[in-house]
Amino acid sequence: MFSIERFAGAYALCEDGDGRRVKLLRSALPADAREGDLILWEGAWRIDGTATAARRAQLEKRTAGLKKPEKLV
Amino acid sequence: MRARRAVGWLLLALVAAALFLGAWRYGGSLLEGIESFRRSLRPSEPLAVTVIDVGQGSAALVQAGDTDLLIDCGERSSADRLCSELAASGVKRLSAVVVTHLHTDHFGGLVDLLGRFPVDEVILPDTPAELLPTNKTYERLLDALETTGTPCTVQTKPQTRPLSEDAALTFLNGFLAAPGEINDTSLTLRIDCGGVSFLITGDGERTVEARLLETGALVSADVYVAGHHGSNSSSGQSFLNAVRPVASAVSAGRGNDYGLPSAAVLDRLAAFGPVYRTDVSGSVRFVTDGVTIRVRAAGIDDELTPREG
Repeated sequence: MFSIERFAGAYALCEDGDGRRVKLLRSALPADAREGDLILWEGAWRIDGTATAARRAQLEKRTAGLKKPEKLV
Repeated sequence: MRARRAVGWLLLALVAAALFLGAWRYGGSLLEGIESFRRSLRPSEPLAVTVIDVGQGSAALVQAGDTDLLIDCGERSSADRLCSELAASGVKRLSAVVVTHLHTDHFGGLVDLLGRFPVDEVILPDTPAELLPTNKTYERLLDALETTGTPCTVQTKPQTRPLSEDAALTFLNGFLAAPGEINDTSLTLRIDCGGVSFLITGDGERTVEARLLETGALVSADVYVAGHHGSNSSSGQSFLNAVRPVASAVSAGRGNDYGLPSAAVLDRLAAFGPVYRTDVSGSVRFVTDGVTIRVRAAGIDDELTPREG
């Protein structure tokens, strides 16, 4: 499974589960593919909406839990 | 051969003398001498902004007085290059690292930087949950922030922070109510020192530029670091007419696959003044006393006069 990191020109820059960069042609992806979508190959690229939502929820929770400054400047 | 060896010994003697003098001046150990020598590498002018060559990505070091602040960190694969450049610029500790937006070519280098330099604070863009990255590099950034216990602030509104007695950093109001993609969350930063100003827009595209104009944000600046690596999706003509830079910088990777910077943007920027490119000249250092601007890069040593008024 790959995560779409961003779109750049004709490419979708993706990462695999180890953080390795994989460059795909944007035109090969579903038209509604968005940054952050997790995609998998099943003869064609498919967005895994359930896995995407679960991954986002997990990282959102960790983002919200980051240490805050003791005193805001 | 003999002459070359003599020059080598002379250089070595000079470095040793600098270390000795530093130790003597600070009345301390050789290590303190080394530290004073490193400090001597710091700019003596009130403000230096270095657009660091991190390949296809962005990173800019802001040095004002005792404050060292980094805006973006390039890709993780460029972390060694970034950290070397910080060390060569005399950085020992970063007061803050600002991540303009959560794309890996802007935050990736922070993953490894956090283990190599003390960072007092990381300032993150306000990113809605539905736009948060899901990639491994972001997870590793969270790992690094948690492990080091680095305090994090989410920048949600315009704000000015002093950098030194002479310089200040301002987050301008380019905040979109409903960002549709990560570039829309890009923070826009302005740095002022005396009569000289810098503008850095991250990967903010025309929607962010329109918002900045709509809110009346003070975007006019002497040096403009072109948005989105010089992509034609940024640096629109109406925005540039408001910025009116006397010079611009573009951070892009040599021979990148994305055609950046765009020829159209280069033309638009060149109509206002010289354009300095990291893909052509490597890192570009702007140093100012608040009155004039000195630009240094490989093969470049220019002096610019800021725009009046």
